[in-house]
Amino acid sequence: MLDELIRRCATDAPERPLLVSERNTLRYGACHSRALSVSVWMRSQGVDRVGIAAEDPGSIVIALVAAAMAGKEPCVYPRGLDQPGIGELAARLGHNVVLTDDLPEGAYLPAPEARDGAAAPVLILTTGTTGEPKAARHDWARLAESVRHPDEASAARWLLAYNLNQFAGIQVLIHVLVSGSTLIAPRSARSQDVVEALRVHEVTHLSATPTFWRLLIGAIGREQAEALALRQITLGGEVVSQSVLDRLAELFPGARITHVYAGTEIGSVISVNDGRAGLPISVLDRGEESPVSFRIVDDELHVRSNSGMLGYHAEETEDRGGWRATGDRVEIRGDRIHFAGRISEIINVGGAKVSPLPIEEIACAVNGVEIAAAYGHPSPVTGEIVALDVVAVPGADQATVELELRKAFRGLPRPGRPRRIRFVESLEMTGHKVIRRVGR
Amino acid sequence: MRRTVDQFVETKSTGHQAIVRMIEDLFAYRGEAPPEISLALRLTEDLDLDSLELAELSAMLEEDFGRDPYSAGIVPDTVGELVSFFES
Repeated sequence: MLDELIRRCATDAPERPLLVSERNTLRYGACHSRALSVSVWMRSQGVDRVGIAAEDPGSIVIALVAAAMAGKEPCVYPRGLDQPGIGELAARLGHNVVLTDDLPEGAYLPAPEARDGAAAPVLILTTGTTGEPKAARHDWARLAESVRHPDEASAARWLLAYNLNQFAGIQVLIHVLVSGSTLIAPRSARSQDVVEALRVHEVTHLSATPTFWRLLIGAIGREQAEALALRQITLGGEVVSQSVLDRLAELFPGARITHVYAGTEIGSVISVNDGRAGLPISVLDRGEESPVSFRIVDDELHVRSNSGMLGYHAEETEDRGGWRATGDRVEIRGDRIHFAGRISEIINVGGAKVSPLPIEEIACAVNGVEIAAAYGHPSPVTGEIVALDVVAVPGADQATVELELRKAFRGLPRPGRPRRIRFVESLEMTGHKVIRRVGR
Repeated sequence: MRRTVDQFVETKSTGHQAIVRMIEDLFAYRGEAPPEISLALRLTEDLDLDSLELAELSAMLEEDFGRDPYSAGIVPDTVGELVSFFES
C-alpha cells in the first residue's frame, strides 16, 4: 500500500520533494531507493514487527515505507525517549528490532520486489501521558480509503504539525502520499518557526489541534496571514470552539476550514466543513449500511466505523464493526451535537490526555499535604490545564508546601504538572465533584 | 491613548510588578534563576515560555486581575505588550 504509493511517485516524478525539513530535502526517488535498501536489511532480521525510534521525520518515513516493502508491521515510538525508555517500550510491544535515525542498509537487490506475505498493518500508540499508552493496530489500505477526497494537485504542500508517532501525524502522511504532494517539517512547533515555514515553503495545507491554531492566530497579523498560501485548514484532536473557527475564517477568508472528529482507535470518522462547531445532528440518522455511524447513549457519543483499528496489540478484542464508546460527553442544542467534556476525569492539556489519579498520589506523598484533588481547569491557551486543590495539614506553611509540591511534580510529564495550585479548607467546598480519596 | 513601552519603565505600576513576579515564579517552577525581566523581552522567543507555561501565566493573570489577554483572543508578544493590556 504505502510502498505502492511511493513507487508510483518515484517512477513518475523522482525529483519531487516528499519531505522538506530544515536539515534536508527527501525526494520521492531517493526515499524509494533508500527504503528498498532498508527493507532488504529488515528481511534479513527474521522478525515480523519493528519499532522506529528515530527523531528525524525523514528517517521515520523511510523506515515506514521500508517496513511496508518488507511486509513488516512498524510502530513509531514517541519522540525524546531515552535508551531505557526505548528498551521498556520495545519489551512491552515485543519488538526485537528497533530502528533509529542511523538506518541500517542491506545490499541493494533490484528485483523482485514482491512482499513476504499479505500487506502488514501498522501499530499506532495512543497519546496517554500517564499510564501506559495502548497500541492500536491499523490497516494501511483502510486508512488510505478514509482519505476520501485526495487533493489531486500534487503541488500541495502540507505542514507537519503533529509527530509521526501520533495517529493524526500518520493521517497527514497518508494524505501527502495519496496525492503525491510534499510534506514540510518546521524547525519546531513554536509559532514563530511555524509562521516562517508557512511563508518560506508556501504551505497550502495545515492540519493541527485547536491549541496549535489558537497560538498561531495570536502570532500572526492580518497582513502576514494574507501573504500566506493556506488553502486547507484542518482542526482536530480536541474540542473545536466556535470562536477559533470564526477567527480562522476572518484571518484566512480564502481557505477551506474543516474540523475532524478522530481518535487513535476509531480512526478519522467525520469531517465538518460548514464553519460551525459541533457535529450536524443528521449524523445520528445514518443507516445500518453506512461505513461510519453515530449514536448517543447516556449523553456519551458512540461510534461504529469500518475504518477504525483492527484491535489493540496483544489483546483479543476484535471490535471492527462494533460500537465503541468515545468517552466524550455530548449535548444536543438545536441541530447540532456539541461536545461537553470527557465522561471520565481525564484532563486534556493541549491534546495530551492526563489522568488525575497519579498526580494526587504524588501530591499526597508531600509533607504537609492532608489530601489533594487534581482536575481540569479551562485554559484559553491549551484547552485545559491541570489544577490542584490541596488541604494542608494544620499548622503547615503553605508557601513551603507549595514549593515542595512543585518540586515533586517535576517528575511528571510536563502537560501533567499542575499549573494552578490552591489551598482549600476541605475538598467538599471546592465546588467540583471529587470522587477519589487518596489520603495519607 | 496607548502608552509606549518607555513610559512604563519610568512608572513601574503595581500591575507591571505583579506580572514580573509571575514570570519569575515560572522560572522558579522550572528550577531556574530568572533573568532580568525587561519590557522588551519576547515571551516565547526570549523567555522561552512554551504553551504550557503561557497557559499557567494566563491562569495566574485571570486569578490576580480577573481577566487575561489570552481569553480575550490576544497573544502578547513581549512583556511590555502584556503589561499594556492591563493598563489600557
